[in-house]
Amino acid sequence: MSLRATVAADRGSFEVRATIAAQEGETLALLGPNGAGKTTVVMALAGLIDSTGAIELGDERIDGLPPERRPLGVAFQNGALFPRMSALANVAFPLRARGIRRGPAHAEASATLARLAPDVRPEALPPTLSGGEAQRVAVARAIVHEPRLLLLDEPSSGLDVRGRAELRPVLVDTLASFPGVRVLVTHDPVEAMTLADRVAILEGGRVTQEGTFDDVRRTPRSRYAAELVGVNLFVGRLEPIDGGAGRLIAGEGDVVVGWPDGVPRRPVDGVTGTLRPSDVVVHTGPPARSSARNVWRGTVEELAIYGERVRARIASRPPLVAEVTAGSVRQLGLARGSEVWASCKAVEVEITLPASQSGRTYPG
Amino acid sequence: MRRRLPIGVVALAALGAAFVLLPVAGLLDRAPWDQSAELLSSDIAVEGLRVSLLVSLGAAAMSILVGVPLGLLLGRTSFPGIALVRAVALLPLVLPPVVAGIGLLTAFGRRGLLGGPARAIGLELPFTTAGAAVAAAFVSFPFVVLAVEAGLRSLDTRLEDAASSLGGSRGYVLRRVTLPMLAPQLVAGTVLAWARALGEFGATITFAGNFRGETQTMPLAVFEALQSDPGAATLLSLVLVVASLAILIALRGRFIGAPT
Repeated sequence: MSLRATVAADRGSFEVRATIAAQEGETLALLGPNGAGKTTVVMALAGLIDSTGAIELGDERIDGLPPERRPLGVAFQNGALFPRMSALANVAFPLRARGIRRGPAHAEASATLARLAPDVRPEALPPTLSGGEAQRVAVARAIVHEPRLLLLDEPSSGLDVRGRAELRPVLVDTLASFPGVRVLVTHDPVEAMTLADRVAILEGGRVTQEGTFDDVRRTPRSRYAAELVGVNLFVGRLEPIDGGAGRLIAGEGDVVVGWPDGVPRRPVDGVTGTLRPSDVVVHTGPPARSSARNVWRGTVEELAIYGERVRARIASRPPLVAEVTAGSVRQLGLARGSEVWASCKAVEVEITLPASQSGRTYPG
Repeated sequence: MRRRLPIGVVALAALGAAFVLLPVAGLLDRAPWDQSAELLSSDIAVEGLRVSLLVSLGAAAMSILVGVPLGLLLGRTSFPGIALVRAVALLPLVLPPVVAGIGLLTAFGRRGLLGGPARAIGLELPFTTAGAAVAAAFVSFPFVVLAVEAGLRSLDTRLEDAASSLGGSRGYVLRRVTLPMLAPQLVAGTVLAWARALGEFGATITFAGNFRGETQTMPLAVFEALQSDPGAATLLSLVLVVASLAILIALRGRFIGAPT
């Protein structure tokens, strides 16, 4: 059994046209920035908004079914627990709604609740639960009736660090043991990478890329995708310049790159250049004895510390992400707002030509 | 935090409160307290109270029966002409009650639109207790409509979405999720409707007449007493003042929407 779904929905002036696919026993992350249409896709899959387009689950078309007859379970953003029902009654809801008597429904719900949220009192009312507790009750409610498709909509959004830490292992276990198709909707790349097997990136209502995380890391197809996997991305027109090099004219600034081998030296449109943050060198003054062909001036917008490594977001043309060591941050006295010069060698920018030119990635 | 108001506003507010308090003080002043035991146990008072209770409770029940579905229709659906339906549903609130009474006569009276069919199934409305309840319900059910519609507007629709995606049919979601969440507004709307029915005068006297023990509610009894025994009228009025005040205190701020 697998999921193949095309969602075509109009939300005011915003239109969503997205096709996603997921295999049985696989978790697909639907990853995208806020406002990309992720929730619209969830609502359309669940039949809660009007959408044209086929939704196939196994060999069954479910797009014609009313929401209550679709074989899926949804854990909504922020839980959406019924405030006047106990945690147990919430989890029992899908069973009771299917006509199962109170006794057996509560026994089943009680077992599921004990497995996913052993620390939650069954009689507790949702408003008294913490965010992490509420979300785990919501996940229990989404799987208790053994649906064939599990939809998790932003399970960790709005949770504090502790809530996330409580929820993460529950999500890992639930996703691993759930026998059907799993779709995880999130804007958090770490959550997607740690919980999902494949990713579909949704931007502006369209799926801009689908594949494994390695696929995305190797050839991110948008700035968003590149930032997700921590790669600088430049898209634009490539023009030949002196010295066997090329100038990639991206909307937000120019980058000097090595001319790809075996490609005629004439302008090419729709070229993608990627630059690993660790290949960007950061200086506090104009680099004097550098052989780097690319030197950009900018200011440090943000410093994110990951252990010994620090990711610096630099406001320059084009905007850059550089990865430096904590030692050099101290040595250079980097702080937010520092004026810096960033440089890289032309050959460090990896070039991908548009599909019409060649499907291959050329090492720089 | 307490805020200080301009002295003029405070003065006018005091005037407003006095505007309500003075007539009550007048009633207290004029009431024949020495005859109170006798008057309150008289036929006109006891029967009036009994009929009032019967009529107002019947009206409240009818208000729920038609007001809740109408509120749900207005708050949850959209169709061409919904504005017109909303206006019609709230018409009894602004209509002079006597006009409502005449309207009811032309609809359910002996020679009215539905008079014949109603009599055929043994339903006699004009000049009966049931008719008095219908007249009271007519003017009071818009309170339930308003309360339900306002309640729906403040309701998180995601909860109903969640309920139906988890397998709840429309009826099940309404019963188990929507109506329980509307309970505070529903209670407030019903109590207001009941209070309005308790004070009903014009529509009742026009449609159901003024028969002691049948259709003579407390307000009608007060009106009748006023012709012959003004002292009794003031005493009966005070009974209604106390009842109304009790309702408002029980409701506190709830009738303006949000539960407290």
